Amino acid sequence: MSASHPRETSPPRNADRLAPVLRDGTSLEDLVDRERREVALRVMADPEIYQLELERIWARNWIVVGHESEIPNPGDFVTRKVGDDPVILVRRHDGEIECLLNVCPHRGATVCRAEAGNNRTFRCIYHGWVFDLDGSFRGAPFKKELYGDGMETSRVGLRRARVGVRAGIVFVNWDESAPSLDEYLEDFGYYFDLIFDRTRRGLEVLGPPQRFVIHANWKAAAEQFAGDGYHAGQLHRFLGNLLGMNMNDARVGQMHAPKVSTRNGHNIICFDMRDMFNAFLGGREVSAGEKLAMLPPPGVPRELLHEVVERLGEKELTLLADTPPANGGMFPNVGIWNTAYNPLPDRSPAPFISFRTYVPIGVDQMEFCMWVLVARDADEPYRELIRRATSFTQGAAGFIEGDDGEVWPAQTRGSRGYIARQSTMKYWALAGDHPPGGWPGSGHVHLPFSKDDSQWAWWTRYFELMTGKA
Amino acid sequence: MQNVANESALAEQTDGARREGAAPLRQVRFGEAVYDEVMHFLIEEAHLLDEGLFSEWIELLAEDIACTMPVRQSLHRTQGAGFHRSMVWMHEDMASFRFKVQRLQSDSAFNEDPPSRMRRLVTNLRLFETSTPGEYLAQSYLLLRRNRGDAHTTDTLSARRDDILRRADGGWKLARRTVLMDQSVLGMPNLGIFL
Repeated sequence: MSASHPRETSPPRNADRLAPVLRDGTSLEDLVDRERREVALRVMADPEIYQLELERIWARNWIVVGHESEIPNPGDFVTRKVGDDPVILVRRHDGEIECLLNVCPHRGATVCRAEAGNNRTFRCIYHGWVFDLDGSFRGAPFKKELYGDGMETSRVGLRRARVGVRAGIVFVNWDESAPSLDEYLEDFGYYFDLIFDRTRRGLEVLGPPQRFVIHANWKAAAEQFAGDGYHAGQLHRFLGNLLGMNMNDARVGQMHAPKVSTRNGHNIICFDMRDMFNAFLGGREVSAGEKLAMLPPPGVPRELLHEVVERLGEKELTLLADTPPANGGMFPNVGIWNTAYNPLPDRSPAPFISFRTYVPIGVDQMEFCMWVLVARDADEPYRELIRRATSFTQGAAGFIEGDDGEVWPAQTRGSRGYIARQSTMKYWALAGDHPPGGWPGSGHVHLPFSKDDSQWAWWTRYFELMTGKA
Repeated sequence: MQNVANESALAEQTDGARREGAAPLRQVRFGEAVYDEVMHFLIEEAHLLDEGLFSEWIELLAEDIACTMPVRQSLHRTQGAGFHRSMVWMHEDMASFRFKVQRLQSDSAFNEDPPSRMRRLVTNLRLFETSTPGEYLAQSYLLLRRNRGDAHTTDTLSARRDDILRRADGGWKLARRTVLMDQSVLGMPNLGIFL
């Protein structure tokens, strides 16, 4: 993790000073009913709440903006957004990654206008102010003639966010006083590493992310990826045709599989592969390593599987083989897919491993941004398989995720009206915290994954932050 | 699928004299009989897709059809067009197309039911003979307007399509398609449609 020191002070912690009361007198606290476990639909459509989120969610938490393999060389950069703030993610000459506010301190224009490239400096096209890769002010045309000798150059660098990298995924945070990234991930780190840190040289992106616009509030996607296992059997029921399964059968619908939630609002659903292995092996007992050899973790080609076996303990290998952490998310806006089990049209296994963010564009639009990963040492045929498997099911053209992009706008649209926003979203189905015997991982473990525990944990975290109680 | 990239390299040869030493493909001119046939094919294909006649559309595809759509980034002029063939929007073959048609015809294709209403304008055909007899490289412009539900606005997608069309059984089959979109950020919630 690279340390970085913002040049300007962090925004004042208004949460303590501003009473969290909306203009019509409604307290933010009134939008969540902790006893009944309901959340007011209003949160999905209120512009005032969106403005509060820019401060209390986006400027305070560790936000995923990319993967370090996108900018391998000094000077490489990509442009991204943190909440509604444009940023530049750039590799410095010393190899460290810097996250700079992409706003010129002179008059406020975005400094960097390409989505990617390689620069020695950043020059604003408006008046020509120039900044180094670490954001510091390098110079301005006619600097002496305009400003004399007294220019406070230390005040006119590009503002820097803190940067944290874990398993190649780049997180940034504007809040100097926020806990470290590892503390932020807390119990989720165990599952995070099992997904993203398995082989010796790790993962890299296949290429730049898919980016597309959905007319939905960002929380529609975020709270679904907070562990909504329930919707899969209905919204994605065509998957049953491909799997040859009856999605109306509660056991087939994976409704018995465990789901993990952690205090900061992260979660992961662990698919239960034991029935499949039992059916395939006729009840014969085999080791976790043998199971993984039959169905390697996504992103890991067979020839690299020995690295996974060497690097992980027996308990972790068993978790990966029997109940792999497959689908979930990180607070506030990251979705994770890590599965080898949704087949291609010929029913051969389709491995895909990806993370995606839901970046707000105002209260009723978001940008869906999806990165696809593969082991650095994977050969071209394996990359081809990952490419085919991912685009078949995930992202804009994916036959599974395409239907999510239909329902998120429907939910946002449904939340807008005066009468409708008095309604609530219900999180009544709680399983409680009952880990199966011998469960090796951390966090709260809920059975089955179709219940609401992890989504309720997400909202609990959301309201802690929004009401200034975090 | 490797040859998709190769066919696209072939397409790039037609973009001018930038690639020195590459033999230029002979261009089939507007008004030649083959040009008429290919334009007719593309117009009929657009009709089938816009009218939702997917079973009939599948019949236009060669068994070895490969269709891809690379992601792109907005780069400075000196850095090129910004396409990355390593990362795609879609990557289809006959099996995946058949599966997706089967889904569209089921009662569970929620993102296309009610269906989009679309008009695709296919124009500016530039046609070239390839080194394979009976196969032609067809570059066309696609302007697709897509409306859904009761939205008063219409989503737009514009692209260049590089196709390989093959003479077969007295007609034509689509053998390769690369969709080169103009947007780096797609302005639609899904690509549950065929391009």
